[in-house]
Amino acid sequence: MIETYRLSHNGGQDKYCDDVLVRVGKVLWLVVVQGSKEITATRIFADAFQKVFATCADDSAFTDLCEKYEKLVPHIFDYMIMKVSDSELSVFRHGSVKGYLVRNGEIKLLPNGTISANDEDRILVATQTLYEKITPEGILADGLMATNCEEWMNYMLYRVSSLDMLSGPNLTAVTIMVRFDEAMKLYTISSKKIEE
Amino acid sequence: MNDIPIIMSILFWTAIGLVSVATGFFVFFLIEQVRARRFRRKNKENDEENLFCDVAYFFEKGKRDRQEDSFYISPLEQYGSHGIVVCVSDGMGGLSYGDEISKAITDSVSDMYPIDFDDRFSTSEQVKKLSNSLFEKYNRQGGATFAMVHIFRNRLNVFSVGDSDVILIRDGRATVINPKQNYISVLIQDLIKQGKTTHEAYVTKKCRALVDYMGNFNPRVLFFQSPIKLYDGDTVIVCSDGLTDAIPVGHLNRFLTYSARNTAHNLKEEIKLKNIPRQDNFTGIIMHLNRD
Repeated sequence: MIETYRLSHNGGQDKYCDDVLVRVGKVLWLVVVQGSKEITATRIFADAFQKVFATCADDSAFTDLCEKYEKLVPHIFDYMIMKVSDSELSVFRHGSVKGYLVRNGEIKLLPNGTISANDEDRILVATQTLYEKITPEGILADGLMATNCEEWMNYMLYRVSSLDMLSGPNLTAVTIMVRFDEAMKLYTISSKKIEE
Repeated sequence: MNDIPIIMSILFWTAIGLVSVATGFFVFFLIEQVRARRFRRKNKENDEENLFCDVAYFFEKGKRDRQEDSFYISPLEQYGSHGIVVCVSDGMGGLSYGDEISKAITDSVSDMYPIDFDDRFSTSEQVKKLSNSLFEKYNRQGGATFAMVHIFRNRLNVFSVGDSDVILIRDGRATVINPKQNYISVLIQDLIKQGKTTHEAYVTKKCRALVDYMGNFNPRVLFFQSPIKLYDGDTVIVCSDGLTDAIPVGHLNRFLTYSARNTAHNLKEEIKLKNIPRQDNFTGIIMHLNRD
């Protein structure tokens, strides 16, 4: 089972500029794009991101999607692409969007490339705005204390809130838990709909 | 001429002998290398299992009439076999029996020791049962918080009910590692789901009130699903909010020294120096993990 929870929050801003695309079948495909301050530029590319993402299937090669995005996404955008299956995690990141892996009581930054997946792996993918307000030890402790992805996100948001009451930049984050024993299910809740 | 085959034969067997001896030495060398590597690895593992735990505490009344905090530290001589368990319980202010309840909690933890490090669920159930027995006795006329850590073989388990703090200081950064079960956390979740900022949560009346505590019926006992790995130089502090209300968590690392005793002394003196009117009871247990 791959469980996931998504946060897309405006922060204290009028507009939500980031983009999160999630697709769950037998594997999880995820793209997180940190938006530019020029909202119009981000919106122009949003449809294109979606169109390319729609081509993903369970058996699609990870490198194919990475190549498509490399051609499509202007260099001003920071983004991360991830594929998670029961057996492996594949990561490609460009810029400050990054992922952390909580495993065996430790936290590690996810490197570009493919590594094996383990039961009870916990993964956080987020934009830099979240990492500026939370320590790796905080991510680790919250990940280990939480029994599901939504709880993990709530614990981390409590920390962020105590610093800036979520009045800063957009916040975008996805929590993922890999479990080998249950049927696959997906929880996604967006705190606010991305404007059309 | 007849000597030539004999000489050849001697040379042949000598060569065979030398090769055999050389092969023997080579095999012996290989075996020794493997044994030495195994020995080094085993020693390394043993080193990792035996981070020294330096412990000290302070336990002060502050400017309150009564001491409603209570604490427990397991026997240090059993650190190697069962690890160390420390616990702080803070009686809820404004209610009766805070001191009785916090003392009952730490006494019960003392009775629970030694605790099975790997069976976290059973431990959490024992804590829940303890709370239920307090509920039966006091019927919500009083309550207390609960923060407990168990360190064993360089791993850390945390159990928590309420808002007392467990703090990990690593690489100069202090981080509270147990969530608070207060009304703010509930309000924040609601506001975030509505896409709002969270200012409102902090100005709401009684926002710091606990939504779960010991003495409640079937409280949710928070605990790590798997333990955190500890490293040389880590410091773990278990404390009541009398400490963290007086000294911001982000400043705690300024008071660290190489000795837990000196760290405890520094923290205690800093709070006394601040001379905060109505300073709450403050209790802290400091654990330095190191190789020395």
